[in-house]
Amino acid sequence: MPGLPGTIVALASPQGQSDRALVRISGHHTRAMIESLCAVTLEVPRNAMRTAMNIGAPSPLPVLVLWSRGPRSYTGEDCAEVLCAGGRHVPGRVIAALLRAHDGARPAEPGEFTARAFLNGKLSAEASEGVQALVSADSEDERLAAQRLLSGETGEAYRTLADDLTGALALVEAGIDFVEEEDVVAIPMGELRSRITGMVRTIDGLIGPERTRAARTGQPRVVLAGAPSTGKSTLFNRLLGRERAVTHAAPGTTRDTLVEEHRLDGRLAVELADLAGLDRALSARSVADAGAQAGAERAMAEADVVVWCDPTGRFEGGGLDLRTMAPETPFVRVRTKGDLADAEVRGLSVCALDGAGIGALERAIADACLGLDRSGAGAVVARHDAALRNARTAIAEALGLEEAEEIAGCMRIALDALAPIAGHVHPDDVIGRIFATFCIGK
Amino acid sequence: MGNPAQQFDIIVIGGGHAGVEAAWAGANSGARVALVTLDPTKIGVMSCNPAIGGLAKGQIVREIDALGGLMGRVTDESGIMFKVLNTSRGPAVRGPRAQCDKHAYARAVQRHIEGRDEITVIGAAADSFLIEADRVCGVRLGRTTDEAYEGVTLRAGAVVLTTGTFMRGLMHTGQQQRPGGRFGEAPTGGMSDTLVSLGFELGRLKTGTPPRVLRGSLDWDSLEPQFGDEVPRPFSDATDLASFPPMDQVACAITRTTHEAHELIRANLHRAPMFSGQIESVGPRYCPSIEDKAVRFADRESHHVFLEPESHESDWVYCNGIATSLPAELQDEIVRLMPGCGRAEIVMHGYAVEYDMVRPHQIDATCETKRYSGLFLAGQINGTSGYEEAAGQGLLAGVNAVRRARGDEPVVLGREEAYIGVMMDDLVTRTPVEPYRMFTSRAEHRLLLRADNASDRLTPLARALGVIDDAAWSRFERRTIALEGAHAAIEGADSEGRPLREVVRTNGFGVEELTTFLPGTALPVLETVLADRRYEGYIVRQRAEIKRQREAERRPVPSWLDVSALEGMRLEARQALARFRPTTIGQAGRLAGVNPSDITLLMVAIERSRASDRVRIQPVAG
Repeated sequence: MPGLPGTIVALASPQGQSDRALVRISGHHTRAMIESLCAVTLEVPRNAMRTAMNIGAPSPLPVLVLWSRGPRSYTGEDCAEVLCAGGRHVPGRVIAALLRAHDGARPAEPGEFTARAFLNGKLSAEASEGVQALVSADSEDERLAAQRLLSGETGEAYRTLADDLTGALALVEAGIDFVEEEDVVAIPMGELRSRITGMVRTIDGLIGPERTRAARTGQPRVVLAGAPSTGKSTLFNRLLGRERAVTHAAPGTTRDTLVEEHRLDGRLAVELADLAGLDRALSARSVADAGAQAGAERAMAEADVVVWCDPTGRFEGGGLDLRTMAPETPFVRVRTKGDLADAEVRGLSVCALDGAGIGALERAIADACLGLDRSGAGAVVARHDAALRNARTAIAEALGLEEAEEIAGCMRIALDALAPIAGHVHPDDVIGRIFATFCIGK
Repeated sequence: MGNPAQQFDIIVIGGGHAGVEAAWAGANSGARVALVTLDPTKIGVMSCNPAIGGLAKGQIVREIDALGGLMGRVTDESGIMFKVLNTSRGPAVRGPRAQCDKHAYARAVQRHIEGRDEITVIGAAADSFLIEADRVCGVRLGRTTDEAYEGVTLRAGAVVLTTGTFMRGLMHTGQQQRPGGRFGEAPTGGMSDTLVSLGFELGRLKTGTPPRVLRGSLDWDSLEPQFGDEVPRPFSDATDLASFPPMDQVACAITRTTHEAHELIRANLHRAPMFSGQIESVGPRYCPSIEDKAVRFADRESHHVFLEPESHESDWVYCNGIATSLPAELQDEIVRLMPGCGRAEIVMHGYAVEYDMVRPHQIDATCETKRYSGLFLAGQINGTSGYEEAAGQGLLAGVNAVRRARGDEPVVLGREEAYIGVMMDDLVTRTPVEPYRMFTSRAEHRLLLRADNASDRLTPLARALGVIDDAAWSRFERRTIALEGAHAAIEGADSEGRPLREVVRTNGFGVEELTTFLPGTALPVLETVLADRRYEGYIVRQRAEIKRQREAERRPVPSWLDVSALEGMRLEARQALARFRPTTIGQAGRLAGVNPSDITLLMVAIERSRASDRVRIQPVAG
């Protein structure tokens, strides 16, 4: 196997833009990875096989697998393509499952499939002229996406984690390399273990929300929100094309959040949710109303896109600022009950009764959904997940060890695993931390 | 007397620890070596602490020994206190260390060098190089101690330059500054100018040394003594245990600095070159001066000072722990404030020395400069500190200089093979900001890179390179057979009903326990067996990881590749690649500012240039 080591996995289809997704795998362990997740034996190359993949969900995911044996493949290595349901979350789970299936698996670097094809002589020098442009374009996108993620709270959490780990490693290393120094006292094993246990918990916390989000159907969740009696349920039914929600003029008719799958504009599948009308005053009316309010607020927080319904077209007032409930989430503002409006309406306006403006609204929602993934954040998130899990495995192993040099070895592996998301920590950095902490030197 | 020899296979400039190993390795390779040094009586001198080894450094000495080098042997011949450090830790992070009799050490080195017919020692300054078509092929000698060599130009296939702290060396004691590379020895200025005119980028570093006191002026009885190991262990596999150690062993003593002394230092910082701005270059963080300690760790009442006798032949005692460049009279006061030192007489005051280095991104992992083939740099000139680090580079440079002279492929040691490999890789991928010293924590494969298994790792390579003699090889073969036998015996044995192979891995199962199952097996073999068993799980995993990375690690980056033409690669990555000019993909990946996507681009660019090259150089069909 040439230069680039490892078996690489990546999404090969555009994200969020189709209802089917293609995940590509290339490298020595391809076959083992597929066979460990699907009940198939890959013997005949280039034979599409219908099977189901265990992605950690209660039931296996139906997939189509096309396997080719190197060197007679696109990259020149053993290679597979997995066709599965599309949307925002399913491909990510497939990728995560594949990455976990083998130690030698890792997310592909941008342009790496093409690069491998070229390095294995599957593309001529002329045909590969575009590789460079492709790689730099991809990596710039990924870099920006990573930067966005890393500049936020998550990035801060990763860096804090790596920093804690570096600090603890410095204490362990000080006890190895400088234990003859008067000033250096090796960190007591109990304290080290409790620090590491804390880090394991931190990692679990960082993996956690990802897992719950991925446990949903994997499609972007679009919620219809607004004050009571703003026509959300009527719009919900109109979008679905059937009477799913009970509608009534009385405020507070909808109490439970209703969720249905819907194909926007005939192409993009989403989860469409109808919420209870948001009004804090309703909470006081009854326990059931209070529960409905809490449920609606939770649904707002989990939404990928919020459709703010307001027949007045003012999107303000009423003591209710929806923006503050989901500050990071894209909003689509729509004036409902368009039949009641004056002639000069600006922005989106729909009339659920006759369907006026519905097409434009669907396109606007679809655009908002596609905007979610345009940055390549999906791929970045898969990498984060892989990095965190590998780091966790390594430090959890350290908990069972006695000897400092073995514990340090595990901590070093964990730091290296975190490198893609928290930055590389060089041995020099660890040594620098030791000098900053202790008086070293005879 | 006739004309002196002027044609050699290699020329080594400098007779310090790097130069000595380079010349020795050259001779081991069967080459004719000229060892050019300012003062041949100073060959092998220990200018600072007369100690060899320690954590990570001890591993390097063992590696040097496994590669046929001299340092371990000479240490065994001149050691006056042997001690394995870190014995409370696992075998991978223990380090053998020895105090040496510094006069006996230098004498032993000189005796070994004189004993080699292949080596011609020439007392001269080397001023400039003979360069033909970017290939260094000789040295012009300056002032000499041997008239026959006055103004002579030596020719050779390659040159190893080891200047130590002598390039524009400047010594500081208080406000007093003297040019010099070592106490009482003049610096060389010409070589710095020569290197600059050849286009090399120089840097400046600083290191320090503590005062030496007279043994008879100390109150030894009041001090806590420190002894070496009860059963001293030699560094070299060639050393005969029956007559080891040949020197009488000594004890050291511990004393400490006092609060009063720290106050005194803090009140006189304006007279301290480190703080007054007189010294601008950076010193090592791991070896701070006493003035540094008094300022940075102001809350500490005292610091340990180890009083280490330097030789049986002199009364000098090395005050380990108070390196300083303070004015002489202050040094007197500080020393006399230490318990047991009230009447101490300083025979040589501490000083700091600033010197030029050639920033090591300009060499590759073989020690050869990228700018001129045939020119190798080793030791402090590359920004390292320590006898062991210097010696390791010297050996590698010597071997490779001979190979360059003969047109053979160069030798590189991997990070997974040797601490020397870790060091070379670090030097060519990160510019040192302080004198580079080895620590075990620098080696990601340190469970594999142990003092006990240095010969297993490196002696087969040494044999293939032809740098060890038959005696060393048959010793190694005997060891290999013993190791295999011991492992086989463990597989078949039980200990109180449990398989021995499980019991050997439990904590507390040591050499004493193992020897009851393997009577008559040599101690070094038992130690390796235990360590291999203890780290088995990691070793298997590390080897798998090494295998996985090896191909990318060693894939060459051709020197003709024009990095600046790599459109699409980020500027930061291009700049890092252009400055360091990595010779392998592995090195490229370790540069700060280069990420995996950049590496993908780099590999594609290499292959594409190759492909178009193949097209270009196809002969025109007749």
